[in-house]
Amino acid sequence: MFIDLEEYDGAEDIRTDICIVGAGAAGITLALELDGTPHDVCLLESGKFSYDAKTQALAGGAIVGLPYYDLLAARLRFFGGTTNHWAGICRPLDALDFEKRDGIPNSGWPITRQDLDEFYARAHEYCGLGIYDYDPASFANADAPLLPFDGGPFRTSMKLERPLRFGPEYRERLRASRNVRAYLSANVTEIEAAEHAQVITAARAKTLNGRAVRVSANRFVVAAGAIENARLLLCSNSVQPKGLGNDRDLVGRYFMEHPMVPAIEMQLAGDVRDLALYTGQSRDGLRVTGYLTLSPETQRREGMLGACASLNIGGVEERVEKSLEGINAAIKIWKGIKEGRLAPGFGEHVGNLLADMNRVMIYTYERAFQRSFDTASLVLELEQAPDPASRVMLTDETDALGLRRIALDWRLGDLERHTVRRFGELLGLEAGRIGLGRARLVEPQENGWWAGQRGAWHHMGTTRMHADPSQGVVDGNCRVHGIGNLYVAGSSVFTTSGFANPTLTIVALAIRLASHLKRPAP
Amino acid sequence: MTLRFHITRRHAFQQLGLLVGGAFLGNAARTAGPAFDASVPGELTDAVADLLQHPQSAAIIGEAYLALVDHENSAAELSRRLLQGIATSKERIDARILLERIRSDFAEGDVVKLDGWLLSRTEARICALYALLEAA
Repeated sequence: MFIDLEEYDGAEDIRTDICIVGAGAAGITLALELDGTPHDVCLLESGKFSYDAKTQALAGGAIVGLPYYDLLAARLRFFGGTTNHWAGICRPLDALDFEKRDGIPNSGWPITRQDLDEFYARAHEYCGLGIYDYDPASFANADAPLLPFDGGPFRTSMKLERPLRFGPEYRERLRASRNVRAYLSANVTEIEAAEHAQVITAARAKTLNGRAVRVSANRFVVAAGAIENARLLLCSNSVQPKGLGNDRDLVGRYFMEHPMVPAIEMQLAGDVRDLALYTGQSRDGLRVTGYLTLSPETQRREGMLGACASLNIGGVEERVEKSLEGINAAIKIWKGIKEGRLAPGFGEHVGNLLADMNRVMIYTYERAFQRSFDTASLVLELEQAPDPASRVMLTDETDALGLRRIALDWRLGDLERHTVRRFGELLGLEAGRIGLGRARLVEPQENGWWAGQRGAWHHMGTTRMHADPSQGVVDGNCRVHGIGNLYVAGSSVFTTSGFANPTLTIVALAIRLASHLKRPAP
Repeated sequence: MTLRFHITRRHAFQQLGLLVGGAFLGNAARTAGPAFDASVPGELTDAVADLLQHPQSAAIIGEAYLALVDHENSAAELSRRLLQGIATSKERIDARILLERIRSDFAEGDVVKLDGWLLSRTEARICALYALLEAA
């Protein structure tokens, strides 16, 4: 059942068993998992079924750290949440991502990858991805072979892609539900707590046209996205001045993204058809892509964060013809060398050298004189190290509903730089060893970061999971430490980020949380 | 699964033979080859000439390497370093041998960085030798 709160003329006090705040991937999954159970569920969504500028304006905030996207654009406040514009790329976190790792401060989840495996398989169904299988061997074939990393520092890791929109996909199922009521235009402005803030009593929601309701429940789940989850807990400070779950000043901290760093260029050798798996293929309605990633042993040995890179192959060039046409240019470059500087275009000469060597390596005549040597740019997608200084926090500016806005202070550090540099060096060595080509390591700018570096629109870690309340906001069941009936769903609970896109893990954790909530409340 | 661009000895020699036939467009840009230098064994000069079909590019890369490692700034010294290990095994010096050395350089981490590009030290030396012979 859907109810638009802007048109609601029922009682201001709404009573339910489980109140879910936010109808994105996490909230919708929770509601669907609870559909058909004995529990009465209220799902509170800020927006309606489509984009509305005034509602979206509630998401505005300031950027005070590293350059970042406009927060108005980075999240979506209508039914389906950010799945309304996501790319649909999925991969589970790796086992190593859950471990306590030497050299990675604040690493170590209170759960393991094995704890999530059964939920990942079910999350696959929610995301429309078919069989839960990420073994690269399952995707390789004669036309799309695996690169022969063979025990070296790299391996192939698969990502599957299908941009399923949770809103349109699951709207009718929820409409037909007998025990789930979804309220639209319901902007939660406060989570009320009883004295001592150990029990939540209600969630207050307001509409932009002035209506207000108070939803009391036995249990509450905040599933509004990593930035809004933190914002809501911090703003709910009537009883606990620092905000709910924030007596250790952890809410909003450890904000993590997946920095995307264009740090490597390549001259590729061989037949780029051998790289088909790495440039992406359509299979059974999905796009499947192999990424170059580090083996766990290499990550541990080198003290690196997780990282992956896909091969973005540039235009095909006829190197032979270019070498004929570029003689004048070559002479100018030659003069540049003699005068003690390397002119731009050195990569062209590396490509020619590679072509010469490759000519010897080609084993079929008919391709020998039709060589096209491609360039590739590699964007590294990095895990971010958990850093308490990277955070979201409240500002004094308020939105149209009187709620304090958020400021994002995104920070990166030496571990990320080290990972980028070392990934490039290792890839350069490995590319030469296996005959993939030659790598150029792009130098960072004066500020220590790479030109074109950006986030991936993945927000994680702001209510991180940890068994120890001094190191996390929620426990292994996503329950807020010290509050008996308040839970958090979504990527804000991630202890570490891995390099995998977060949505599959968000959905898996939501299914796991739902299985916990299905048990009778204590 | 054998990757298509792995070296096979039979095909490497096959392609060298085909290229001598002159069908490769690159021949139009090919010079007469590096000059003779008594300090460089003829076999090595021939192997370098066989390998490098883009002489301008090779010279540019070679000059960049020599600017970085000036103590190898002679044909004799480069030749000595390129032949290390090969002469003692009495293997014939040819392009295939040089390519295998290049690959092992990467496996052993013996690389140089020129304009950010990670190149095998052997391939950089090959280019440097060519640059010196051409300049002679």
